[in-house]
Amino acid sequence: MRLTVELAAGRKSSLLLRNPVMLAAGTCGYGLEYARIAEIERLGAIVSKGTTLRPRRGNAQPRTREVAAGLLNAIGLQNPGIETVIRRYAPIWSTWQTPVIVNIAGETVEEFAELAQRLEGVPGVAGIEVNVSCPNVRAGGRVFGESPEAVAAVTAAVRQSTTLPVIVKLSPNTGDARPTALAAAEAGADAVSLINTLTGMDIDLEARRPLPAHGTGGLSGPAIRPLALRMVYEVACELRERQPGVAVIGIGGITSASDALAFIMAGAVAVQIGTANFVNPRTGVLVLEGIEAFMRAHGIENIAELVGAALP
Amino acid sequence: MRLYRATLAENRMLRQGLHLLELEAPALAQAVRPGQYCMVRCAEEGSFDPLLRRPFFVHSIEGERCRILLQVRGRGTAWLARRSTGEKLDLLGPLGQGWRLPPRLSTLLLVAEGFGVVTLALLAQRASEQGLAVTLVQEVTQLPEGYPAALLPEEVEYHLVTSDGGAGQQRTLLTVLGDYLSWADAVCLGVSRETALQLRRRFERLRRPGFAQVAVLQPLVCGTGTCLACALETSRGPRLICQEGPIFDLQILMQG
Repeated sequence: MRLTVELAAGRKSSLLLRNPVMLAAGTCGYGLEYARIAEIERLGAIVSKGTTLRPRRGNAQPRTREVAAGLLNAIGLQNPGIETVIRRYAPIWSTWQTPVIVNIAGETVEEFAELAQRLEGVPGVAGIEVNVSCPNVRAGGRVFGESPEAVAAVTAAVRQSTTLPVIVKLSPNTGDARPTALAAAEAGADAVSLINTLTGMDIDLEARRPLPAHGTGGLSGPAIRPLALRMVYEVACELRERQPGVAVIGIGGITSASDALAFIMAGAVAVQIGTANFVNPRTGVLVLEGIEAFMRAHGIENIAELVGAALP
Repeated sequence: MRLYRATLAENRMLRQGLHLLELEAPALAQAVRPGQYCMVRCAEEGSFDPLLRRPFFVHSIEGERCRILLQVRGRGTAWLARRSTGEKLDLLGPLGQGWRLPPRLSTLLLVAEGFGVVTLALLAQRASEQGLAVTLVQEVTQLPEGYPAALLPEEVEYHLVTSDGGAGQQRTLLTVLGDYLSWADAVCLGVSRETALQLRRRFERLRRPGFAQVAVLQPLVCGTGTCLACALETSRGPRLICQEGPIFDLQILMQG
């Protein structure tokens, strides 16, 4: 049985994954927190916590709010900064079989470029995921992720600054991710990953204030899966027509192998598990085992046979 | 930290909305220290509503069995309270850092506000097993909310303070605690952050280095230090409640 997938096959910056199951940024820290319990060595790849040039302390409390089958979060990109990540974590990653992709978040095009440059040639860093869609930092994510021109500018700057595989993580808050997906692809992205969280809100009835305290939060979890699936399907159709070399990575409410297979059939070469890691840190491994069981039961030799199987 | 499938050996309702769950969980019983907690799934397998696990302190241990004192507060705890003997529960734990008692201790004061007593129960058991003199002072609004004293080891002295004055004159932790503090070698607080700060301001003794610790409680998301939802500002910089807490030195606690 062949589970290997290649992001951006045929390009210099292609990335080979031993299977299509990845862990999403912000839901597995820097991989060390539950490396053992999550059996990270069995997964296709992990994506680090969103990392900025300088350390960030993050937003005020409360930072999260549980909602029906979902979670609102406004962590505010709390992270120790790129230098600490390179010094503290990359040497450990370099001993792992599982590739680690570093998710980067900048407040200007130049910051994105600088982040990419810092990661160039660092042993243990297998790729870059560009966070143009984090909705929590006013000066950052929203501005870039919701305009095709801005996404193109960031993607081009990162592309010019690195030989690593570049994945651009797209925002769903535009309603239609095809324009930004195409912009990223045309500007040199090897893959696009989608969706990031949807901007949402709850209200604290006693305090009469929005929750999370930041004012809005990114909605994730099973509640967003149908919407994510629709966007992945649309983007996969679009890129197949116009940028067939660019891979699609599906994210959004995946909790099981069935969920993951739906994204794969909708055109995703790989999937990322996010919020479900908080419920069960072993979700990635369970999803992988479920995909294998499905392939055995249906006599499928190569996962590639399933990618895009539901596309028109 | 491990994932467990623990069998529910008993679900005893102590009063409306208060349950004592007894779980067959040998590895957890062996590993857990007072002040550590576990995250429990509170939904059917395959159901994701409610989505997140709920944190519970291990209340007491008997052999290979762990007990959890459960107060029904929302959908998750209500689901858990409805479980029957023989059902499997999905646990992640033990998590966090427990109470860190100083060496050469002979008297231990435990101070609770309402249901915050759950943070202290296993400590009361372990400390009295080790021969310490243990006193628990709990403040509740009304008498029926008091801790079921029968659950405490016999050796533990239990004093109840009712802030609505039902048991005589109105008394609170702020008015009574001074009498106990001079007796204690160390203090462990299972109270709200606001109360902990009030007590620290009121009593000089609570400001002594290494004398008092506090359990900081809030809803948790992951329990493993990955989501960063529970960052707590302390006088020594940010700390994660789920991983570096939930027990903190009272000295480093700051206004929320």
